[in-house]
Amino acid sequence: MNPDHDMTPRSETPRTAVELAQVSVTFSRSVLNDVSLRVADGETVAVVGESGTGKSTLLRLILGLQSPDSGRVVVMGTDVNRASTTDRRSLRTRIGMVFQGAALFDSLSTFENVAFALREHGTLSESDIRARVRETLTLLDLDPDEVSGTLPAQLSGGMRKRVGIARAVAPRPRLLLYDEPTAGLDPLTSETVTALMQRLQQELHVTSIVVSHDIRAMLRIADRIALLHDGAFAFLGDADAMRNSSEPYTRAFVEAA
Amino acid sequence: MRRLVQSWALALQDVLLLTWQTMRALPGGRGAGARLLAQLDAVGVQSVPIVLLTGLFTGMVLALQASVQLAPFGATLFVGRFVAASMLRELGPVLSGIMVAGRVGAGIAAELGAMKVTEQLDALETLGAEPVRVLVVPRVLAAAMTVPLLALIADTAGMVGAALVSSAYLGVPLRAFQAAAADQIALDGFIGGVIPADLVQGLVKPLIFGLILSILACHHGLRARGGTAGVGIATTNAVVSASITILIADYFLTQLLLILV
Ligand SMILES: Nc1ncnc2c1ncn2[C@@H]1O[C@H](COP(=O)(O)OP(=O)(O)O)[C@@H](O)[C@H]1O
Ligand SMILES: [Mg+2]
Repeated sequence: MNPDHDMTPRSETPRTAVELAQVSVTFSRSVLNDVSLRVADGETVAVVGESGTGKSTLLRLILGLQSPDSGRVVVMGTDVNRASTTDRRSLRTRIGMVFQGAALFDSLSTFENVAFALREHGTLSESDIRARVRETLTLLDLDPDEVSGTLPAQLSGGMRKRVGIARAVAPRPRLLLYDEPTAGLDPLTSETVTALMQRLQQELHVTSIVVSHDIRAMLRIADRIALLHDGAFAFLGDADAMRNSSEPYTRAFVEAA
Repeated sequence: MRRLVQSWALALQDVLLLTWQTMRALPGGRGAGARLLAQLDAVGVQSVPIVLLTGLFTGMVLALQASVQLAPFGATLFVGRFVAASMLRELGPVLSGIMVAGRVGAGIAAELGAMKVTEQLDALETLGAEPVRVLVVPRVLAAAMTVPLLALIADTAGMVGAALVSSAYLGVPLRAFQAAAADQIALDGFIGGVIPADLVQGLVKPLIFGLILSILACHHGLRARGGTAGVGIATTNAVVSASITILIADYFLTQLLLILV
């Protein structure tokens, strides 16, 4: 599929940020079937589809939390499933993941949640960590003085989501993965989060993969949209192509929105 | 039947793997001290009241039962021996193990299970911290360190309870109770001439029980699936499997220790 990336030395920034090559995943049934996807550096790709089609599984593959039954997953030049533990760790420091329910650590304050990866990586001094956390919270329209000391349980759904995004972007990753970032939010908060995602794209110049059911928002912010259906992409292309698609399932999906 | 055996074999494999991963992750890296301290409190210190009460009342009832058995022989004075023998070797370790399995095992399974189903474990891994290192290691260490001490507390409370019941209701003076208990410990022998054999049994067993209950609780918590219902199932399974495994292990440990000690 992509004969050149094997030769790419890791020090050089590869043009492809993420490549899934003929990936298949089967649990009790086949979830992903021979799926291929290339995401270019700096691109924003939305993955949409009905629930249970394997969208979260796709993100877990990229993070190496899940191994494919066949096929390859190459992220920023590293084959996720062949990488050593050390390589995988170092790869993960360059990936930020926003989990569906935010997955904030219940027992840690907002500050400690956002600082978590910075502390684990252990490269920044304590004062740099403080500065970075404040900067990141501000970037997400959260008041550091107000939220730093609060526990996740005390935050509203929209704020939890934003703290989850802050935790993911605090280490300034090259690749951001979002799992249903607006699910369960009211339309207004949903809109705010979408705008924030757009702002992060512009300010941090990250590659983004966004799993979402909010097709309208995705048509607006994504460079390309992938529609997952029956274990494969029923559609893969930009917003205009998707609106004008004649493929029946794609049409139905767009019109339903 | 075949499926059952298969799932047991898989679970056993999983538990052994978790044990191995836990050993490899020792002593637990950056921040390990603070995490261990928090667990020593949660697992150990906070279990003291229930273990104390369990030991106390077990000792008291043992004294009553012993007197019933011994009275026909006019041997009520030997209540202390009977209580010391059963408390130090068996009831102290086993009851503390089971009480802690109920309190702490359930707590661990519920906490890790909730973290699992809300993707906090995935988040940990993604953010560069291995769940085994930051969650399992401190809990297992804390249980291994505190359950033996809790068993000693249960032993002591049991002896005190038995002594009180003996002197209050059975006409056995405290001194006689004490002397009888000391006789029993001496009778069971000393290792290297100093360490009472009873104490070795009484400490080795709860050490193993602590390891069993914490590893099993972590195993069930980490494997929880299917939302809040899954957390409930994991919690129940953790307590049941730990309690039963402790009772089974107790038999074989006793047999082993009787040969060795
Ligand atoms: N670890 C797993 N074990 C078994 N089945 C799983 C696992 N993860 C996901 N699945 C199943 O795979 C399918 C796709 O899941 P998922 O990727 O979460 O879908 P989506 O995010 O699109 O809703 C679902 O049917 C789900 O039940
Ligand atoms: Mg999902």
